[in-house]
Amino acid sequence: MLMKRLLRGLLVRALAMLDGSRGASDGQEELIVRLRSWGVTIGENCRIYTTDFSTEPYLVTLGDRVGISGGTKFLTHDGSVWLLRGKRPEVQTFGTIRVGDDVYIGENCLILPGTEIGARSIIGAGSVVRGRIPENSLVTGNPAKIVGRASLFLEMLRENGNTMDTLALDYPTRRALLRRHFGLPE
Amino acid sequence: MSDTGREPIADEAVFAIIAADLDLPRAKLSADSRFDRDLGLDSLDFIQLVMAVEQGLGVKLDDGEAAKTKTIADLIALAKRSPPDTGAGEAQP
Repeated sequence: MLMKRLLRGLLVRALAMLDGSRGASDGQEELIVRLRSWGVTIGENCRIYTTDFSTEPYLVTLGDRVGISGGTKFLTHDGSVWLLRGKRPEVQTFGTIRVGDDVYIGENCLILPGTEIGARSIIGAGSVVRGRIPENSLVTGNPAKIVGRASLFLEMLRENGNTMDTLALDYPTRRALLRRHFGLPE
Repeated sequence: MSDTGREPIADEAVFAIIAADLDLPRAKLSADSRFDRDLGLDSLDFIQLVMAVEQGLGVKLDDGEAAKTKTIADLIALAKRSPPDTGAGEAQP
């Protein structure tokens, strides 16, 4: 069993090297290779921080430049069908999930079977999403509702005084800058 | 008709929409009211307000310009120079 895991890990790393999406150093390449090997269809330049793609990962399709935060879960079946098994012992119910290009899904969301998220949409943290979400939607809540246009939210982020170009800074520099910015003691 | 191709927008129409959306008496609102400091709106509240104004007036506000508005007067001015909303495939709350 251990040997199998080690071999699988090596295979995943080897595939990641061939994947062509080099540059990230936080395990993204390996994770995306692993998810693709499970059957998840994943476009280019995605950043994914969850492995929770249900028992039918091959029913999930992600477009290009999709960002998915930690704790988010994709559900591709409806477990309540279990209640029908008294008369139909083998019955199961499934649904696909499709996520368009340039979509961001926040922390701890639940994406239910049959969901289709349109391109350029943003799903707020903790949302429970079902049905069809039109393009450029900002969606939050349980059940998730469309609040407005994602493009307006992005423009507001641009204008937000707490939006800064800090990604390339090393940890101590960013820490000092942020504590100063928010008026916290050095 | 205004040069935007629709009926002119009255300030009071915008105030009425804002008062209804925020569930505030009209008397609590003034042209100088700031969305964040005076009315306590966060970003999601503000986006919902913009959607309410667009739907109430039948206009489409530019995202970049809407994001820069700070006061009710700013929003009224933006609504007055905005084109009618054709509703072409955009997200509606």
